[in-house]
Amino acid sequence: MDSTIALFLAQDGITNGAIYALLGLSLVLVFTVTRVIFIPQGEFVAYGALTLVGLETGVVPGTAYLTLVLGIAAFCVDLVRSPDGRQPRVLITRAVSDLGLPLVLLGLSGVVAPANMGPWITVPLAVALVAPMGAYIYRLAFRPLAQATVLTLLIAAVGVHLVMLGLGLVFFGAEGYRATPFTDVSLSLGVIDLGGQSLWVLGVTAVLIVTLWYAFGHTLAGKALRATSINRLGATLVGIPTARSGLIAFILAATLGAISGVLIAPITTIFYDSGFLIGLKGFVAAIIGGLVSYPISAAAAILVGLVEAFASFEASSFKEVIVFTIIIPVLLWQSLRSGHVDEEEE
Amino acid sequence: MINRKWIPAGLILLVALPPLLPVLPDYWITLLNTIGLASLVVIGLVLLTGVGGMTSFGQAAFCGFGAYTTALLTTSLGLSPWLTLPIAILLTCAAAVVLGLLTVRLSGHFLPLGTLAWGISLYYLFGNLEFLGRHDGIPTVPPLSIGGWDFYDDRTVYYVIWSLTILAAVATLNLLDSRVGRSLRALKGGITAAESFGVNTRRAKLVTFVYAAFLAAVAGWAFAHVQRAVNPTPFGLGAGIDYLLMAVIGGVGHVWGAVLGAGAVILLKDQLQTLLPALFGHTGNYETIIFGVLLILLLQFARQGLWGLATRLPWGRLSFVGGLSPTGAPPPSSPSAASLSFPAPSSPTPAPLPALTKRHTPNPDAPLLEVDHVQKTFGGLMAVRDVAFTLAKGEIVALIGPNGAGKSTTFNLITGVLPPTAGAVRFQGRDITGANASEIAAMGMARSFQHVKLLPTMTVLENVMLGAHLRGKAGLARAILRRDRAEERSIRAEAMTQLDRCGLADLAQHQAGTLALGQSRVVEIARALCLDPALLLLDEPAAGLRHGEKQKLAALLTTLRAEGRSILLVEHDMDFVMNQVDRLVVMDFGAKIAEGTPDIIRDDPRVLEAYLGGIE
Amino acid sequence: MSTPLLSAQTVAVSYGKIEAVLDVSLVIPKGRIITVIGANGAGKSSLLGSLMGILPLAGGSATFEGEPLDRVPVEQRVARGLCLVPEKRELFVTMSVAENLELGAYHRPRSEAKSSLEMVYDLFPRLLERRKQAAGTLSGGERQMLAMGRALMAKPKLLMLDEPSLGLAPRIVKEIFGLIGRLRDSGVSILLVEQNARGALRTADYAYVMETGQVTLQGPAADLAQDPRVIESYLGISGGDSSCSLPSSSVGATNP
Repeated sequence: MDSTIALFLAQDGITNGAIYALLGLSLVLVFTVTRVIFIPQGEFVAYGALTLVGLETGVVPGTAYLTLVLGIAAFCVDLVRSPDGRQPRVLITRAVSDLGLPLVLLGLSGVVAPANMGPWITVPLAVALVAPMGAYIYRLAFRPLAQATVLTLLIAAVGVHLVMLGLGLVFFGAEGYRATPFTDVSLSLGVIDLGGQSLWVLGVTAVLIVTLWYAFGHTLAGKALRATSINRLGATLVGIPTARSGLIAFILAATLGAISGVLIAPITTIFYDSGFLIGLKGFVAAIIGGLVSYPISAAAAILVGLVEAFASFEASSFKEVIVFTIIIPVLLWQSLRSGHVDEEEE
Repeated sequence: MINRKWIPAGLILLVALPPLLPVLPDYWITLLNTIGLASLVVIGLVLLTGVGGMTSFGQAAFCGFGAYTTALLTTSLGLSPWLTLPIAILLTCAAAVVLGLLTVRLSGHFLPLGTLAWGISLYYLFGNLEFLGRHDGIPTVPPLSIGGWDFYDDRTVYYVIWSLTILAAVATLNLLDSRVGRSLRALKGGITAAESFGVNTRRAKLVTFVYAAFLAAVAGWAFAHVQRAVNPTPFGLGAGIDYLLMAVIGGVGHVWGAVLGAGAVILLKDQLQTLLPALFGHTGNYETIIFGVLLILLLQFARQGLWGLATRLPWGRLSFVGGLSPTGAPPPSSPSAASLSFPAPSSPTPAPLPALTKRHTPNPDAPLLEVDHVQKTFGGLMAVRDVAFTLAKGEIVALIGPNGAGKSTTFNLITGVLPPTAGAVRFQGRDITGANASEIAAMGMARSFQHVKLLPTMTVLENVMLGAHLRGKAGLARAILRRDRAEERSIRAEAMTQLDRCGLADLAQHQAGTLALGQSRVVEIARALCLDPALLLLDEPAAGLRHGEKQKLAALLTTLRAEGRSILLVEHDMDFVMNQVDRLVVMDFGAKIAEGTPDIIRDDPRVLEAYLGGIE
Repeated sequence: MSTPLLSAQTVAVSYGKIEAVLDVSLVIPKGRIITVIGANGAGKSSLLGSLMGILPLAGGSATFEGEPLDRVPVEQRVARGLCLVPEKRELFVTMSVAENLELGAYHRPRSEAKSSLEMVYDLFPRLLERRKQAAGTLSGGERQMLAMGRALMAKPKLLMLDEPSLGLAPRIVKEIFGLIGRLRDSGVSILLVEQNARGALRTADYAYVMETGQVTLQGPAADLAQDPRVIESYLGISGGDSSCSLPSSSVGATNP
């Protein structure tokens, strides 16, 4: 391997690592706020990517209909489950967010898809189509189980994964697609060319991470989210609606997933089931961060990307084996570090 | 009611019947074979999830490990499948031990995540190793055979598979209704409680995980010889998730739920795989949508799964099989979790019971317990500061003080739940500072809890039997083979004796969750007594008791003292304390402020000050 | 008298089969300190939890400023001016003191929060010194101050304090009780649950004594402070049928 190849692999690894970082952060966020180990995180990646492809190729993507169906379901289920929500004011708010929003998005897709508009329109729309699903899925699948054990929530997450996987097949078919790059520009840095799309990935990831860092550290809403994850009872007692914190965490997770999807859609061919494996690499990063640490998870994600890139060059067929085996020493290290299994005690 | 003895025989006949029916198409037999093999895996997963409170996505990978091991050894070395079975099991279990050891010390969710990674790694490993035939796998695996007769026919193979499945189910039920099984079931009651009567919870978790891997290995081995070929696909993560689906849909609380779940999922999948593609116009795994929705709905509305639903129907009451019960309630009339066992459980003439191990009485010269200037800080807070006292054999000492004085923390330091920040604890002259709760229990220290820690879905008797865990010896193998019955009877008799002396013999067959708080506290005392302790630590034993019950408790404590046992108790009922104990240790703000006989303590101004609070 | 700030009628709380609170009724007038004293396990904390809405009521009802509280979610109770400082403080341990306080004012406009923050720092100068420190690094007394400060940031009309003296050194306890009196004088009503009977009775205007889930005694705090039965209930001595372990005469002697 010469330095050009090494640099190329490093670029590739860091680009993918940035995506894993976004997913790892989402997983940590969802887990700390709601205790859900969010297995279907990767499905949002596939949904985002394939929705973008649909909009580019002139088809109204199935996700547009799915968002509407989920919105209607969430609306109806809440109507049955929470009698307090039948006051007119609440009802109107919910009708707007659950029915109005997906209808508008569906309408927009109907206009945008055939018109062959550029990435400046299709990319945000693809993300907007997928993001509300996070909220609906939380309300339909997880909020009723808010008191359940981590194990039960994990199994429910598997259920959501299965549904999203199957629906992905229904909407997008078994074929893989690739989106057109946002830009043709590429940057020459000495011996290597930095692809335009890689620049997009790195730039957007950097902006998102800084934004999240700012929001969690410096805004009341962000601090409320952190407070919920640190001490749920304490958060309840200062009047933070913790169920809404869960909702926000899921919306953020879906949004970050969809953004990851549209970012890599022009780089990789995405199939309906590609998201799972991508999401799991985010998990490897999140596990290295102990499912609680944002900075460690982000750094670990870059590491995962690099390991993957170099592994694919040195031993391409064992790439996945190597990436997922990283977990073993990590678990060993964490196991040795934790002396005592903490239990809720007095 | 039908004689229960006939039910197993009838069931076996029923299971033996299908291949003999010529009208049943081969396709159905194949499907039943698939269900049998899956059941084998799912039984292990039910144990892991429903009993151990853990879960795994890696069961398919364990199957694969078993399958590839036998495929490789039989094709390349020409070994007999019967010879490769133990090798396949051994290798798979070794892998499970490594994976288990890595995760048992971490919080529960790291095990499923670890198995997720393991499942993927192994799938890609199978698919890329040259000597395993890469993605094509290993074709031409020999069939099973006995004495030169090869089992090619699905109808013959059926008997092999279902014998294995039924054996596994019965073995698992036997296991659950045993000393080891109770310790596994105790995992759900929390680590602190289980450790307090000597269960090594890490090992219990590991045993559960390895047992599940063992069943998966057997299923994988059988699969290889039934299909007579192996390739990576049936052992991927998707298959691992399918097994989890079967466990949850069937009901993770029940061994037979595993069979039901496997059957339901495989049959439904078979139907949906023809129906849905016709609906959508393409081929593909559309059935996952239905399964996913089903999974979420079951978790939200019927967490005990199909088996739980089935046993709630009227005919389900005639249940010939008990649940293993963490989620589903077994009928209170059946104390044993396993009624479907081959040997009859009770012999007509009571054989002399084997004696349970008795602890040798401690050296009377050394103080029984020495708390030597222990300290405990949490973060910046000092919960216990420099507390020192001793306890002699046959002495009853009370630890009193206002709420937050550090009494419970001191208890936890003595019993090994928490390690002290400084200082030492000696028990019977041995330094036990930093020892595990289970190790300390083994030395003869038993305790009850301020917040009652009984297993609500187990009977009172089973809860109390848990206390005698350390006094039995029967291990996994003896439990599975039912060679532990004599010891079990002794443990049961010992538990009954202790319940009886605590005045709760009438409640033995009730579910522990139905008791009043005061009764639950006394059950905990009975459980602690089953350990045959030299020292008994009781955390607020009289709280919630009525006047008469308190008098009985007082009498019991007096008897125990007469037997030479020592008692350390935390109690707020001053009347009870003052009349019962030899000495008192008074704590306030984490420190010992007074020590002495009730008469001395009664007149100690510092004690009065501590209790009433002084703001001068 | 005008409508009481909070009134609870025959409130019951249970955990499964265990009844922690049975038919407790109490009234909290505006601008007063009401205390509920009793031994460990008497049901005091459960009573507070149910009034705050973190534990469901098994029976009875409660009103706040004349409005029923049934099914009002916790966050709305906070917004209406009902705040609880729980026994375990429940701080956001990895966040700074300032962030903890800021979150206390989650429901209020930021401009108002600012003046409350100044008020809290005035009350607890130590919190000002440590405002950048993580809450988890504070001492026990400082944690209690932060918990109270965080609750005050919500500008409560009724502040419910669960064992504020728990585990604190006597000097700090004195400080906390002094502060509770000052808060009352500034117009905040207080429901004080305590085991430190003497301190609580000295600070409060009116007192209830709870025993095994029920109110067994009530009256003006000054009267109850003289009542030997209080000492008995408090020490958990089963009254009547046995000799009193701590003679009440000795209590009277130390009671000015």
